[in-house]
Order: sequence, then C-alpha cells, then structure tokens
Amino acid sequence: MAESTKSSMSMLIDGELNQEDSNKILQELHQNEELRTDWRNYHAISAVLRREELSSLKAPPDWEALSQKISDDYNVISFHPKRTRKRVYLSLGGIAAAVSFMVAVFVFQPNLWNDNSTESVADTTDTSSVSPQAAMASINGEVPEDPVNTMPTASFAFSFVFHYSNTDLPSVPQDVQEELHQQHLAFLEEYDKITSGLDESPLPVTRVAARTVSIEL
Amino acid sequence: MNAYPIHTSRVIAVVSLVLLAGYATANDRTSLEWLQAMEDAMRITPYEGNLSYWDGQDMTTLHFLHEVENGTQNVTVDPLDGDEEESTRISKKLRQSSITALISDVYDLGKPLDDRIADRPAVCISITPKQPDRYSMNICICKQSNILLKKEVCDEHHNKLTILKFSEINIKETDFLDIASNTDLEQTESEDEKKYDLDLEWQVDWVPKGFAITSAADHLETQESSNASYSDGLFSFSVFVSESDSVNDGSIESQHGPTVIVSRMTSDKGGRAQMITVVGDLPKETIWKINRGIKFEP
Repeated sequence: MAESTKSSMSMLIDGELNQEDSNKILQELHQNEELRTDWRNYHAISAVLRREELSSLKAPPDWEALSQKISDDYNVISFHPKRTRKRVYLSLGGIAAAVSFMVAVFVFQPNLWNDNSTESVADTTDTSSVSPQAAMASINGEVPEDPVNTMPTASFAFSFVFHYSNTDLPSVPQDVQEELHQQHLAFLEEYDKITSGLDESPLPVTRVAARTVSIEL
Repeated sequence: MNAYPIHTSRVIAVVSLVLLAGYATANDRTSLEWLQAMEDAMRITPYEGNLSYWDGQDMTTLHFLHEVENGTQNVTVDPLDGDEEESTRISKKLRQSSITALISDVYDLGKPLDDRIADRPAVCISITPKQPDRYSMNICICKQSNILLKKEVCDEHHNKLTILKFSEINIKETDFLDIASNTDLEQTESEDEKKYDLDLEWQVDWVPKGFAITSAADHLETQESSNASYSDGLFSFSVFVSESDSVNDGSIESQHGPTVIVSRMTSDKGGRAQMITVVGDLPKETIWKINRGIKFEP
C-alpha cells in the first residue's frame, strides 16, 4: 500500500480528511479487499489507542482490563416497547425455537464521523438506503448489484465492532437496526423460555409474561 | 398400591419445611433462613394475586396463580392491562433445591427489616454482591406465609432496574402431607442431570463465582446450534453458539431492562464461522467478559 494512501487512511480515521478526499479514499476501499483489511486493523488500533488515553491503560491492553473500561460508553440498542397479543405456552421438556442468526452489519457514513453526538444507536435517524444484504455483500468483497443505489455517497459497508465509542459511532440505517432488533429479540425470547422454569426465579414466568405484553416477540 | 411411592428423604424434606414454616418465629430467623423458607414456600404453597412488574421501561400488571398438584407446580399468568391477552403458563416438577445455601458465598445479606407489603407484615432483606459482576436485590417476604411480596433489582449505583410487587395476594391452605405423597424428587433430579452431560464443541472459560450450569442443549430445531444456561441462585445467563454464513468479526450489544444481549462473530477450530451470543441479567461488562471467554475445543 502506498504511503500516501496509508496517510490518507489514517487521516480519515482521525476525521481530518475533507469530504472530497474522504470519498476518494472510500472509493479505493470499496474496490480493494487488501485495503479494507488494513482499514479494519487501522480502525481497531485507533480505537484502542483512544481508549488508552481515556483509561490510562498500558499497551498492549488485555481484554479483561479493556472490557472493564470500554463498556461504559458502548452504544446500546434499546428495544422499542410495542404491545402485541401473543400466546406463550411453555413446557420445560420441549423448549425449542427458531433463532435467527443474521450477521450484524452496519454501514459507515464518513461525513458523520465527526459528529460528537452521544445518542444511542436506536436514536439515530439516518435513512440510508443501504440494505443489510448489500452491506453484507460489500463486506464479503462482492460487488453490489446496484452500486449507485446501495452506496450513494461512496459509503463503505463495515461490520460493527465493539471498539467504537460514542464519538465515532457509525450511523446505522433503520432497516439494519430493525434486523438487529429482531435477531436479539429472538435470543431474548429463547433465554426467557429457558430461564423461566429455573428455581432461581421465585415468581417464574412473570418476566416472560410481562415482556410478552410490552414488546413484540 | 400407591402410585406415588413415598421416599424417606422426601418425607424428611417436606416435614422440615413444615417445621421451618410453622414453628420458627420471625425473630429467630437469619436472612439466609428467611430466603430458604421463601424458596420452599414459593414452590409448595398455592397462592394467587395481582402483581405489578416494572422492567425499567414499562409497567405491567399481572394476575398470578400458583397451584401444586400431583407433585407438579402449575403457574398461570394473565396480563391485566390493555387488550385481553392469552395466558402464559408453565408447569414443572417439584424438586428440592439447595441453591440458596450458596448465596452467602457471593452475596452479603442485610439484616431483616420489618415492613408492610400488600397489607401484610413483611421482612425485607438486601442482597448485595461481594463483587460488582452482578446486580443487587432487595426482597420482601410475607412473615406469615414466607411468600415473596416484593423484589427489586438494582445496579451498582443502587438504581432500580426492575420492580416486582404484589398489590394483593391470597394464600391458600397447604396440605404438606399430600404434597409429600405425590412428589418424586429423586426421579426429577436424575432426569435433569442427563441434560447437562453434553459433548459441546465449545467451552466457557470464565463465569462469575457461584454460577453453575442449570441446563444445556446441543441443538435447537432449526439451526446447528447449542446452548447452556447458568445460575447463581438469583440471576442467570445463557450462552448460544450457532454456525453462521458470515466470517465477519463484528459484535453487537443490546439491552432490555436488566437483560443484556451480546453477539460476537468468530471462527471455530475448523474455520467455520460461528456466532456466540450471551444473554443474561447481569451487568454488560460481565456479559462481555463471559462472551469473550467462550472458546472452541482444538
């Protein structure tokens, strides 16, 4: 990789690149898998370094120490309470349910990187048209069928990595958020089914019933 | 011939419950004894009432019915708010549990304090973790019946995450000898033991102190996946591991009330993409640490 590209990528990660140069480097990223790998590494390193500054961690940081520090500003998706009517009949001997395992893929929008907003993922209002499927195709190095529609501003598909703090959180399209909600709601439902019969719960199934009322499972 | 043979250990256990519930006075009990009495009473005492449940976001009012018949607990919960909802039901075999005895290893138990909940005299006990890897809890127990009347889950800053409280409750008379003659505790325990003896392709390197496996399954119906659940007697978490089509290394976290869900993509020893998800009523730092500690066997 040319030094100029490395430098540009570094500046991009630090939010020091203008819109025109950002689009240029992102276009290169879109076309070059090797560059994308470097990009991921750069960004992970950058995120860790920033957290070192915040937490006074000594390099190289180990996960255990890091996890204690960085969790405070993870971005949390809050489920939107929705009322629904749904029958739930639990039998401890036959608990099994379909759990959707979709890949968590978010889409980067470079012009929002410098936004110091602290709102959560669920609060973002981005309406990008990039679909989860297109994002996944891009991250796998595949060319989207319609690059004009799926990458309108040379945006770059990127998996959400926990290292990101609030200040550099990528904006998440609404439809991707919904997919992630459904995915995790399926896990929540399965967890409730499993644990509602445990002796640890003095009032078993109460939580399940309450959640069935308050959220859409 | 009696269809439900009486085992000596079962009779001793149930008679002990009677003695504990009927003859020990409130002033004589320690916090741990109150918890044990509550745990036993919640399993074998028929009761019903209305309770409110706040999960940090929404308040729900429910009608709760607990019945015991032929050695089986039957619970029916009906939401009382909004449109009429279908009942939520669960049935399970009565079983002995000694998990409460382990609580004092990982929690500090506060002194029982007198209070009044749902127009009943109660004692309230604070349960604080010795390590900040789990939540704390405040519970209030009916002095007369040992039934739980109120439960609060709090974070390390004492913010309330959930509140569960009976507004009214009707506790029925219990025929302890009938319960004893219809309960086969030994058989239930042996069946449960079988569920945990699975040859999973992954292992959990770290769990908070006091957590023990409570259930496991090597697959769900529609996915090549496996799961295991753990509990410390008060809180629980579950691990789900499933094959995935993607090889991305992203992670995602979400939360509902005190329940945190963390999914992480990784690869197993064979290079197959796997998604590891941990769901639990624990602080998110703890859930992340558990998730990161899940490894695949060589």
